Amino acid sequence: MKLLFFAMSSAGYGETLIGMSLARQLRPAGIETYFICEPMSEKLLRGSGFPYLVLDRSMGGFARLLVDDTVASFRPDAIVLSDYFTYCGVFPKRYGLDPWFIDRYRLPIIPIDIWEWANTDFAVDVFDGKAMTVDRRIMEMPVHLRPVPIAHLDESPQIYPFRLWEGNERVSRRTRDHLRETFGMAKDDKMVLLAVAGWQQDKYSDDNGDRIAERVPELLVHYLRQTPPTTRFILVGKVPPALEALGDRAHVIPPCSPSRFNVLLGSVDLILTLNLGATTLARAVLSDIPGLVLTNRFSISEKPEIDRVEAELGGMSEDVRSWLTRTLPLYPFRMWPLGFHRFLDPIVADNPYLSTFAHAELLDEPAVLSALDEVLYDREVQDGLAANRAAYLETLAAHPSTAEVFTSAARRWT
Amino acid sequence: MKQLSMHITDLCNEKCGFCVVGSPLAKTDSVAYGDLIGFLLENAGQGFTSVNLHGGEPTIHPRLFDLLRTIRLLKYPRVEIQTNGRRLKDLDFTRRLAEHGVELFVVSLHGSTALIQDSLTQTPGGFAETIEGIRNAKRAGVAVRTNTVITRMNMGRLMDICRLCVDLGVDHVNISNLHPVGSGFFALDMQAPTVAETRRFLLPVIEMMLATPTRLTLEGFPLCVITPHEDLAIEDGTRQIRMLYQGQVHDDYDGFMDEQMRGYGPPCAGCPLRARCGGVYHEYAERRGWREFGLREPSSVGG
Repeated sequence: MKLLFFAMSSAGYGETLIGMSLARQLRPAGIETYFICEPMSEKLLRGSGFPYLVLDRSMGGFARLLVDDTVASFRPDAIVLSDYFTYCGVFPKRYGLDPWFIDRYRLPIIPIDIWEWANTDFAVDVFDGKAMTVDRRIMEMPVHLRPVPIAHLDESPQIYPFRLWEGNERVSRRTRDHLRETFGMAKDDKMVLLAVAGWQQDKYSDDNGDRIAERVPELLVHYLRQTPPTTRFILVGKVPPALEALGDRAHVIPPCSPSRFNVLLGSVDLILTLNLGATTLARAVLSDIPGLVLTNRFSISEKPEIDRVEAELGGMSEDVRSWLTRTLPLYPFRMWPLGFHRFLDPIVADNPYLSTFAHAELLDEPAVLSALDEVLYDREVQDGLAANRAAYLETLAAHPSTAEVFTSAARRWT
Repeated sequence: MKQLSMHITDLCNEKCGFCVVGSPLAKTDSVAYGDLIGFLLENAGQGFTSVNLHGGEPTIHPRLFDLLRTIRLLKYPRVEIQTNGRRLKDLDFTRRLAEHGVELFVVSLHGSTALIQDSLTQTPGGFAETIEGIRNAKRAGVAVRTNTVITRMNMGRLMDICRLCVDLGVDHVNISNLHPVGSGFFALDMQAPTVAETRRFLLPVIEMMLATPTRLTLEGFPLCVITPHEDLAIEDGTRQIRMLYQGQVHDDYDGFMDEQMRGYGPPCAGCPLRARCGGVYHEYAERRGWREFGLREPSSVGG
């Protein structure tokens, strides 16, 4: 069987990595894949062994001709959208094309359904008061491939959950020690990977979104500077300017190839992210690496509302209050600086994935500091999270292999 | 010089934080002995004047002497080994290598004291062994070239390192720019000196070394960084190196490095040194940008 993947993310790597992970897991079953991607994903695909075609927004509508040509020469049996959300958005926005131009190939269209669309109302809360409506076309598609995590493992005739990652990124103690020494750390220093993607620092032509993108790192730095000096921070690629205040405790390295990033990921003691849906977090969990996610559930438009939040949290530090005063209005977010809060309600509900990492409310300073301290230094908390990860991984291991899942799904469209 | 160059192992008995091969990150050895022999057979009688063995650490390869015997059997005229020199502390071992045709050891020396060297190589006790290894190489009548990667940890001691080399009777001192790949990728931020730092510490060392009989070369530096000593660049266009590296053959190693590993940026436009310059390591420019580069004054040699 031959699959043509559209991995059209122009902002982050996660969607392409999910598609590549699926393709890699299907390869032993003799399934051939071909990727169509945006320039930013080329570095992931180069050297991966998967053939690919790069589309560029400068091609405009002519990009379709290249897709036509690829379909004619590769002759796929089905099209995989990696993922559905990205696919729907990219072609209209960047190429001026109706995304469903692919209908004319008369091939089955299989969406990778990261967000469990069937459980949503197809409206994504993006920034303060700004929502994005998404095409409901996925509901007509006979098969939804859901990567786990973050999706639930629940199946249905239409839903086919598959393990996101087969591999384990853990590295040897020798490599961990070597990297610590290379970064100038003592053996027992704690290495925290601050997972901040390029898209989290983009400008969104939205005053609220841009302000929150800029200000949240200030609050994060305020927290991180209170951790013991033995806590060191690793950042990859473009770094928010505010994080430079971490000084010598932050180690910045250029954007990484996947193999370098794997070494890094496997060597750290903690992944810290403000993106609940981060693929890096999912990979960390699947590699038994601790994670901590900071999100914000509060919508605060004006200063008087700060007291309400303080009451709900059972207190608020002066620093957070001062930061809030400078930052308002604030909207709820689970994928900073994007909101995705209400939108993610269904996917986080009763999801055992959430028990595999620590979580704290961004505005709750004592909670953030205590979560950081506990995941890094408290053996009891570490063991508890490790047990949750182990249980989760055990459940995943009992799930049929991705090739089997895919074969079952294929029966639905063939 | 027409050289056959072979990466014979990924593994190493040191853990340099700037290792370009990433040996400390290697879990297993990707090099197959059969491929090494195949490469030697394929190139025998093709006019190569030397074979250069490197790794990882070639002296820990379990079949090193088999390899040397094959090289001799195939009548390659000369063998060089790039090594950290630790195993050369054993004089008998060093003499055996000499007897098997090794005529040059290229020894990694990154510190003038155990504190610096052992920190950079993450190998306590390594410095003393390396120094003894250099002495043994000279005792065995084998020429020694040292290679020193300039880092923020050793740049202030570069003069001492070079003086130590002269005192040890080293024949040739090579100073290398940190190439941020392998382990070096992770070390870039902490260990790679800026252009200003490099020039501040390197230029006086060059002046000192030029007053000694010991040969000095510089490797991997954009020429604007080392001007007015561009003529000391080891990549002088006369080397012809065919390299086997982790299963891949590079017919022109220097060309490969220039084309794949280094690049040019805005300050290079119109630079009179450009035609001879390999450019800046991509990873360095990605992290620190291009503002540091470019000729501030006309070059006496290139401009």
